[in-house]
Amino acid sequence: MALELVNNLPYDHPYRWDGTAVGGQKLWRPDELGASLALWLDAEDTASITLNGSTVSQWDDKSGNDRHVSQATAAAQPSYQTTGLNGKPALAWGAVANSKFLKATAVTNYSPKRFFGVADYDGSDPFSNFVTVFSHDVVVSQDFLRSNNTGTSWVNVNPVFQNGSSASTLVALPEISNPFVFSTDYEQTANRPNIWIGSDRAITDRSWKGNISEVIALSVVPTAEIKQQIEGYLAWKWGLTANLPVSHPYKTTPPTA
Amino acid sequence: MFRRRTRDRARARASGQSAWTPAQLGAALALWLDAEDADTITLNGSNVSQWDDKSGNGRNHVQATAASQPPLISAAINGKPALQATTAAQFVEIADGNPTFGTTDLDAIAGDLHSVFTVMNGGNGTGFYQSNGGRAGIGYGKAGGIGSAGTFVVGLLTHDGSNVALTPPRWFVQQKGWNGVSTNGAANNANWHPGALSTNAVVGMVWNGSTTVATVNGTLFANSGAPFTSPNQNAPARIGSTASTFGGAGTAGGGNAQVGEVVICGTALSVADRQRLEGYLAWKWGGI
Repeated sequence: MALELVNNLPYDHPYRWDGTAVGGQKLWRPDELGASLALWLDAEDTASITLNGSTVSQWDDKSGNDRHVSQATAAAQPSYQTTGLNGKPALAWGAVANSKFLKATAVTNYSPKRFFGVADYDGSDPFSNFVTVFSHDVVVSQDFLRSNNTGTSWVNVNPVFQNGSSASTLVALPEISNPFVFSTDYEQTANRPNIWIGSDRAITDRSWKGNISEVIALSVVPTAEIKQQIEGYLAWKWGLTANLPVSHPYKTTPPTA
Repeated sequence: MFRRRTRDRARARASGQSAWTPAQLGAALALWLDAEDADTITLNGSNVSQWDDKSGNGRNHVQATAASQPPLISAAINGKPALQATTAAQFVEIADGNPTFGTTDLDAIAGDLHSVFTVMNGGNGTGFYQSNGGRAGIGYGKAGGIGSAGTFVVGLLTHDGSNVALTPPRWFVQQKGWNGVSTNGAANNANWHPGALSTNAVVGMVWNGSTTVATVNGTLFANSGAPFTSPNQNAPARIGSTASTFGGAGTAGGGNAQVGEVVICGTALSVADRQRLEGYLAWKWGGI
């Protein structure tokens, strides 16, 4: 399969991402987005993870904006799993609702327009009571990606895409029980000073139930091409190309820079 | 092959520089076998009778006996060709009692610097069981057998010396064997890199005269110390097999292990050159 051996190189290997000097190609990465990149959390990049034993006390933002998310309380820190999602690294919230989260505070100049990422839902506990991937200071219901209070759907007034396809009815299950690429529209103009990863703000038991491996936020509305590049990047990186629709431009080859 | 070379040239033009290949290792390059280069393969039907060395040193690997010639699988490693040791009796070799690669004969002793890298598939675990040694898919071997006082083997160890399957199998670099005590192959080398049956990898090592840097897919792993201290057993060098078993009949290896490329240098590669070689092999055999 394309990229099999390249994806197996360590994240910081000098030819993992840019193989042009050795006969390969340069793979597209979110840093190609430049100033449009508002937030980039990446569990495979161990240099961006601060561990407290086996749990994560800080997950560094790689966008250049230093919107790092952290958690000082050990009991509220997600664990770090080196093979937690499709054999690759993930931050694990566990299967049952809890009060774990990572948070950035006093964030400025942050009004994201789109979110992307990779996660999976454990599935052994009900998809209810607002199971949350991320949230902000809630002004309107667009400020998070979370489940409805009951049932199998996301609650969000904007479209949610799973694996490059529109989840037109916002149905999440059962698809997200396997690792999935998500994206969601999010068009706010006001600054959001707080970012929570893996929880609906600090509300008890509104945590994510499963793993989160990558989260990307954009400060602009991307073109359809860039949206597909991000989806392709995530799918190839995390071994999820089989989930992309046949018509997706990066179904069989990864995006290159 | 034509398409690949054309693509490389196109990339080189686009980047304004030539893409790195092992040829740029210069005089350090002692052996370069490349199954994607059809011009270097001599076929007897669909089996390989000779695999030519592209290093310029003429260290061609041959097999005159038709029944022992390994098949060339056209779409083996990510759609690219590789020699397959279907059984341990299939191999190509330098039929010499102690072949050398310039200044090295792959002994793990001071003054015998060397680096060995291969792209291979470790096979399905049905390699020849060698009592007290185990089973392995072998990428390159210059040894009397896995686990014995052989000088060098790189491959995927699938079973320990008691023929118990390792879970998981482990990519390994054998430099001095493991003393011939049944399970020592696994016990002594628990730090060897976890692998899986029938998977591809860039696996190799650098010996600088005192320490080993062993890597799988660019990740360093502990090549834990083995107790055997007889480093100078001489044996032919082979693809897909060892020259004999651990004191028994036949040869170790087989198990459908596949080999796409082998590079041997008579120096301890620098970190930068090792990473260039790993990158070159990874992109060539498992890129886009």
